[in-house]
Amino acid sequence: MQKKWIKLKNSACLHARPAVKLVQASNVYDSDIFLSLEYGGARANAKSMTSILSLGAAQITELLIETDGSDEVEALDAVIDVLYSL
Amino acid sequence: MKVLKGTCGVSGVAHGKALRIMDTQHSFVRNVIKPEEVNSEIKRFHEAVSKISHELKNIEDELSVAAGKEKAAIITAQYLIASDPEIVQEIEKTIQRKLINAEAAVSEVFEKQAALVGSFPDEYLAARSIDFRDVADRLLRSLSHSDQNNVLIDESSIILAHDLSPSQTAGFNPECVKGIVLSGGGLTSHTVILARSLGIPVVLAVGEELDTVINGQMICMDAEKGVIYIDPDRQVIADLKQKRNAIEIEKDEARKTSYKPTKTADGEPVEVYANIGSVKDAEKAGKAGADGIGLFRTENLFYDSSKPPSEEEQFDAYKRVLKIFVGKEVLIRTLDIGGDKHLPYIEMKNEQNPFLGVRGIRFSFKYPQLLKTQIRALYRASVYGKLGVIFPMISLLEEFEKIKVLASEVQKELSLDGIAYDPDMALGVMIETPGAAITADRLAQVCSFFSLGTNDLLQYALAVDRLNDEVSYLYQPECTALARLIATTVDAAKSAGISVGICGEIAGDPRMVPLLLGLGLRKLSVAAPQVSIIKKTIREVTIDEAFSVAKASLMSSR
Repeated sequence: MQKKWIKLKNSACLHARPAVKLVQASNVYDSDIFLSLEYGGARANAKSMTSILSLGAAQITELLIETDGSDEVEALDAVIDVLYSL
Repeated sequence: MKVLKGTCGVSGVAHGKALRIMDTQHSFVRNVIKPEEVNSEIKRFHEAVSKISHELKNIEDELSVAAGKEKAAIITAQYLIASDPEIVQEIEKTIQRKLINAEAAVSEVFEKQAALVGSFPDEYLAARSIDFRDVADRLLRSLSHSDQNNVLIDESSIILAHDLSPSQTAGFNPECVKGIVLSGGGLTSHTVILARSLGIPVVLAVGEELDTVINGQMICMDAEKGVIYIDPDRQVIADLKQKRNAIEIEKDEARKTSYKPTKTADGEPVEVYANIGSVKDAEKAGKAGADGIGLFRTENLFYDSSKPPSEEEQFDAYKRVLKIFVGKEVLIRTLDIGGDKHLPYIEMKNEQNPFLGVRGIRFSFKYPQLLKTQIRALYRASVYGKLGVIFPMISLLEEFEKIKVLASEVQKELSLDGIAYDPDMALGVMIETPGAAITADRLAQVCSFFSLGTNDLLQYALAVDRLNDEVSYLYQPECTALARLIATTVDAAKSAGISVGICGEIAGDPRMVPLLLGLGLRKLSVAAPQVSIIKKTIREVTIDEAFSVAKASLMSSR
């Protein structure tokens, strides 16, 4: 299980296009990947478009990424890359 | 023959057989099922999911080719919603627990999602509720087998509907779908954007009378006039055929004559420049016959990597564009960040109103080193051609004074370093705030040229967020307010003896050409593909006609 709390340089809004990028990047990995906007807050499945859009994440600057599975380290890196590139 | 009138969505002429497509709101029967039917109901649902996923994937592939990946992302998002493991699971559970048919479960789960997303205060997020409803609709159609979307369209058809969803429109094959007529429909919808990129003419807002048309009736449409003819008589068919041929010939001719100098029908010379975003665009613009570059947006140079481009990289890009347009004017805009544009390597505060916040020159003053490096690269490139620099989002005269101080500092440094530059490189103002337009007479005393950025000027003049669907109907380029701001700017430039051009979207719309010429503009800068058609339009207008259009617009009640 990998956990990382990241800060974005610019605030991001997880609407259609960014969410598409996240889901497509996450689907490459076997691990479960979750995002949450605060510790103990609602967790969104990064492989689920619905789940990401339901976060209502407009203007986020920080978020928690959790990955769990055989390729959890690579998955964590990949998701961080996508978020930094938004 | 019957004639119906609506408004133009995408101009063009078409004829074909009427084909009615059901409304996006689909009716279905909510059934209670027996426990032993649960498995077969879930299986039916899975079949529908895999069928529509397949459909959406195909549409996405076709649209990526026809309109580019960016526009296809609307459909990619829908594809990912349709195949979303979480939503599939929730619908299975709903069927099982509530013992209802797949249609009812789909409708319930998707409606709940759409309502949740639609309740978000952020309007871009909230707008995504359309995607959930669109996917639900597609699933319901697939479940009920009344698969209107997949009606085999194998002959020239004109599609009739109340409104169309983006995915329906994107699924049309322009080989067979010759035109679209909607009884409702707003201009801002994705449907119009998608149809335009597919080259399908659209007439909107025809009203309920459209319901009287029967499938298979012959229809002719002249979208530019917003008119459709039902069971047209021979004369109308012949006229429209001629018009369509004329449009084709016009396009051909426009391409051929694009390199010749452009004059209005009564001999007034007009220059048509191109707007570009990269060196590659400059090559395309050169081939399209552009007389110069009216706007080089430099943001792309800054987006790519994790740090700003070096002076050397910038110098190289500017020099290459000047070499492609040797002997012709090239106007380069300094970095225009803020509003909806950000840089990956610069942290910006969240702003309540980013379009009224740190944008354009305000951003540059906040990061003066970025601006200084860019100005230095521009001065170095200036010896390779006729270069002018445009500064964006100027709202007060003192901002331009500050730029001039910075420019003379850069000149001094270059002299000390023994590097060549053109001390007379033109420094100009992008007129895109009402403040700048209204005080254009004073700005004209201190700068060398104006470039009218009408996309923002219009948005600020009417206080309309052009990205907000709820108010974008007010975003009317033909309004009197914009015409007056343009006239004020052009008059100020003329009295001060400086040049003035326009690089907003409206310059690329052939319908706006007479107005712009009538307001005194003689330099229009448009996207490269529009160069030939705008030149063609200019050749057909006389200055007298243009004046009367402008005069009417300045006094109109809009």
